[in-house]
Amino acid sequence: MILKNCCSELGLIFQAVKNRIWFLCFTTVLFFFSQAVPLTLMLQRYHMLYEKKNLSFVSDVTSSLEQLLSYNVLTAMIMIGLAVLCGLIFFRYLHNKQKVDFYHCLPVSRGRFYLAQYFAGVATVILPYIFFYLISLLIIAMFGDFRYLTSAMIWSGLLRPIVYFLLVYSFTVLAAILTGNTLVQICTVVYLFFIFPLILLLVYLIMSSFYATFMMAGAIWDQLLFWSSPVIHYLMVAMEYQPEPWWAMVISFVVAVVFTGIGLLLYRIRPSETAGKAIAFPWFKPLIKYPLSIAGGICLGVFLNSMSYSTEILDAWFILGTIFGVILINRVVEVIFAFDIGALKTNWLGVIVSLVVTAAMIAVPALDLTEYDSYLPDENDVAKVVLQFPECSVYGDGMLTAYDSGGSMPVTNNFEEENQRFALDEEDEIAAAMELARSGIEHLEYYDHVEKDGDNILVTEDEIIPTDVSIAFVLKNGKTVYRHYTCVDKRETIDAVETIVTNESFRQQQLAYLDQEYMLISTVELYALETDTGSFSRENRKFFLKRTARI
Amino acid sequence: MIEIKGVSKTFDDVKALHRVNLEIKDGSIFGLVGTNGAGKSTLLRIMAGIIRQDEGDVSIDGAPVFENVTVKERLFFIPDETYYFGNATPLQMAHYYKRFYPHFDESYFLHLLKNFDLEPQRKLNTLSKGMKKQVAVITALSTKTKYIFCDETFDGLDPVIRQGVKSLLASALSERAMAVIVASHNLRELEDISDHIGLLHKGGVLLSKDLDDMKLSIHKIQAVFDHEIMKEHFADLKILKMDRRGSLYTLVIRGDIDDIMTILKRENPLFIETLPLTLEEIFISETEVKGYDLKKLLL
Repeated sequence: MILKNCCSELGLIFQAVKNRIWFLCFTTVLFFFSQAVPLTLMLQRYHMLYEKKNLSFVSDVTSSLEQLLSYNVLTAMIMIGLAVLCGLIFFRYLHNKQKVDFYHCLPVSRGRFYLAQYFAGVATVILPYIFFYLISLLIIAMFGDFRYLTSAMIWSGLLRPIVYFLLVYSFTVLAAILTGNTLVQICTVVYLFFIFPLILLLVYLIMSSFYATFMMAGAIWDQLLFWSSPVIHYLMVAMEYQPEPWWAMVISFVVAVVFTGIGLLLYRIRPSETAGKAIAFPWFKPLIKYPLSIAGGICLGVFLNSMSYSTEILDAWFILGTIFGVILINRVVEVIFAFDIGALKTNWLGVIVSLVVTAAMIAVPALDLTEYDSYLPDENDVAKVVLQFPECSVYGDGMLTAYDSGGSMPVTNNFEEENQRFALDEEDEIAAAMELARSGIEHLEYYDHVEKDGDNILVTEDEIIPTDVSIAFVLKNGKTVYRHYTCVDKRETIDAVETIVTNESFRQQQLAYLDQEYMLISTVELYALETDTGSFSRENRKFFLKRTARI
Repeated sequence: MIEIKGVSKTFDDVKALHRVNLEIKDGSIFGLVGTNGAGKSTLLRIMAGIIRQDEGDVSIDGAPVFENVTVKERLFFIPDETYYFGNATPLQMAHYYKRFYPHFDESYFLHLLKNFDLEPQRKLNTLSKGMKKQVAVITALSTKTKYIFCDETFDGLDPVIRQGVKSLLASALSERAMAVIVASHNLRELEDISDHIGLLHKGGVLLSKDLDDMKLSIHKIQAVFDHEIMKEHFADLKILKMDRRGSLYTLVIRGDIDDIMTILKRENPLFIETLPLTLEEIFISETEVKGYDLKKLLL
């Protein structure tokens, strides 16, 4: 019985592939020209270039093979394109009333039929891919270069494209089931792939615009982006922009399976009469309409604000652009859902809801309702701190040991790495960091004043002497709070800075990063002393020179 | 047997079917008649398990249809617009259907194709609309299913082919126990093939009657009287319609023919005879009683 069912299922898959044999031919030709041919040309070139298989040859061939097999952007783009195409081709019948009548009246369960179509799509791409991958390995062996391959390279080259194909394909199939029209399906696929990265970008823009102390560690931003979209995820891995731990591929595979399962459930209950309509499930409409109109509206507001060269984010252009964008996108989506221009007049309540939600989303940071800028963790809850002093230069024996450009402290953009390498956990260091933060919070209002005056910072005795510092508070509960203070008063906090930079472990960490032998860090200079634009009174200059000499 | 109980279906704001009740017995051809938008296609699609009803039950041989593979193996649906794979031939489509219908008879299929002068290897997209419908009917009969649902299958066929297809269905019906449901907006199409007629109007069943019973219970009588006759003269009779042209009276009367003739003869007609009734005339009579103008219902 099981064997009979399997044969029957295979028969369905075979028939589905047979009905789209042109696509199988297309993928076969594509993989031939994207895998076997470039590999052969590359190996031939190296073998002709190098008379002897010396170290350079080995290095070049190994890195090229790794590039071609494991981190091939072309393969990634092909797999993404084919996954989308596959989802369109094998499930397009759901958007045609005649075809739906034909297939759904057959005596076969919907679940079986869905799986047959799904795996037929997988087969038309994965089988040729595997075939030409094996051919590629054979070509490498024929050139005598198989020994330069590692098992990691072989397996990642085989499995990674398959896993990410399945991930993207499952999204596209889901989009086909959720919609009733192929054009709408394509738009939905784009929406599913890019809505979360867009929202991330907008959150970043809004928070960085409204919160004076907003800072997002580069590593966190990369991680969020990495997991926000299957397409971006795969491309980041293929471009080696983001290292991929082994479990990331496992998670991607699991997500692909989950989305396939969701597709199966929805397919079984999908009303056949929705063929030809924009959206097959009414509950899916608000999931597209509201996020898209809100995100799109804010995008338009930000765009117009940037075009106006205004120093304030919350200006008339931003407000008008946001309102107009929300209404426009909401109405356009409504018309697309109904396939009727008359839908412009309907569901204005949805527009009002979108505008209210948008206003709330902007009001929270604009009015700092969550007291983000003034937040400071309790000193007792802080386990360690990581600091960045962009204006500080570190000198050892009169030589500039820091980066020459800008005199900024040599720290990486990777705060997670810094958490391990530059974290300061001693009580006095944490207290010093807290003092810097308090100064930054105290002079928050000065931030606006500084910004309005542009790049030239006017310094007078009566005003603070601002410097900026980025701090990551690593709490005892494992969470990390990131803040960037632009107006930390140098005069007030010189003691705190001194405490940090004169700390032995901090010095050793700096030198460890610089990868130099131990040198005595004798001087901490504040950048403002060297700037052309800064102007100090004689007293202030004496004050700072005195401090630096002491160090 | 097909049982439809209290079935309703709404598409957006349009009520396609409203509490439809029907019973279709085996061994008969059921004609489902109604105007465009009456709900015929919707009802057939629900019966074929393509769409699910919002309310009510549809059962075939006591089992629900939707997502029931065992029940669906017993029925074949011919839609108004047939779909075939691109570049497929009738034989290739037959092989495809064979996967799903365990009793598909390929030799019978080829035999019928030959009878209708259709080539099994000719591409279906080169056939005319009528020829495609012929292939659909032949395929349906070859699956040897117990039920065949035809959605406006005869519409658009030329009279010769139409007759051929009708005789095919009738012949199949005589050979094995099966039921055929034919949906059409044309009463004349169904007249010579149906055993039972159901009239759908605005999503509801207006009428569902056995054709023989209808014909037996309604009679058209023409009589000549030498004096004026009023309906009151025949108060005992259920006169559905009475037309007068001079002394010639044409009456449509419901009841037993012997009783009717006895009562009419009391008025000493100079001439009296019964005339055959067309399905349309029967329907007109039936629907006028209910306050509907059939011409408006079906035209």
